Amino acid sequence: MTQLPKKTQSDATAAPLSGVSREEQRDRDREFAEIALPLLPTIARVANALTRDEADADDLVQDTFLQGYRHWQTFAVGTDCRRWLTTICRNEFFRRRHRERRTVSVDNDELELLGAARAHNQARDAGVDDMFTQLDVGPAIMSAIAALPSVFRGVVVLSDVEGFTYEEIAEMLDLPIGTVRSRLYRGRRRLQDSLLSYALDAGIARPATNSPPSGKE
Amino acid sequence: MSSREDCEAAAEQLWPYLDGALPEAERERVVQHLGSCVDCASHLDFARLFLEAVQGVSLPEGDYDAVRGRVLKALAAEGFAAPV
Repeated sequence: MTQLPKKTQSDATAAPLSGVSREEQRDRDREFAEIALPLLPTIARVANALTRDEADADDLVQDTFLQGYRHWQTFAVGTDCRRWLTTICRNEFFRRRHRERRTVSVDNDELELLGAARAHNQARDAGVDDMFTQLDVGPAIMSAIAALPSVFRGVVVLSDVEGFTYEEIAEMLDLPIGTVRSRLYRGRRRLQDSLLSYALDAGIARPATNSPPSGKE
Repeated sequence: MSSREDCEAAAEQLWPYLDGALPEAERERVVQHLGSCVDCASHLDFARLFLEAVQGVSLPEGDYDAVRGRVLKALAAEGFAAPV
């Protein structure tokens, strides 16, 4: 479990760096610039997943880096800064929300469980199951991610772009792991549907004469 | 010979399997089934290609220029000086 810095000041304008020599501050700024700031895109994605609102996310990113900078002395250089900052981001979000919880429906879970095979069957039936070798699907995936409803986009980005585990995402977003999985699956299914349309529009479909029965959906 | 139930059970686990999110015993069951079922193995190949494609996408960093500028400005007010 990552140790979070204890909050010693809640005033957003406080300056905790007093008493630090100029040389120490220069070293600290250099470390922060080299280790923490490059993680801004990751923190922005986490903030977007939490807030699902661009303006709120920007506020949260700013507060996360301010808290991180103020408490940089509690970060052990060489440990996982991404985890340290995402924990600050998460805590800051829930502090603001006063631990207000949003409930999320986890229905239709069973349908999504078969998503991986279902999409393959659909692609095979449409004659585009070789789309990944026939097409550059990168641009289509980027568009499809951008078009996902925010509730799914956040989890897909955290899992598939940032590489967080189900457990890490559940902890970060304060959600049951089943909800994370459900949102991830539903998001992926939507991406697959978009890719299927993209492949069909690209005209790579061939007659699916040798399709095995798709009754295993 | 695989039963429909075996195939459905394996299909449900394809994404968690590829995500490395299955407990060892379940992972073993999936591996065993995939080794004996050509159709499910082809589902796995498709699922792997899909996830590799999604995970290979680089989201544009430029999207964060505005918030980066805002963060740097707020940090500067705290005394932060970006190294030159």
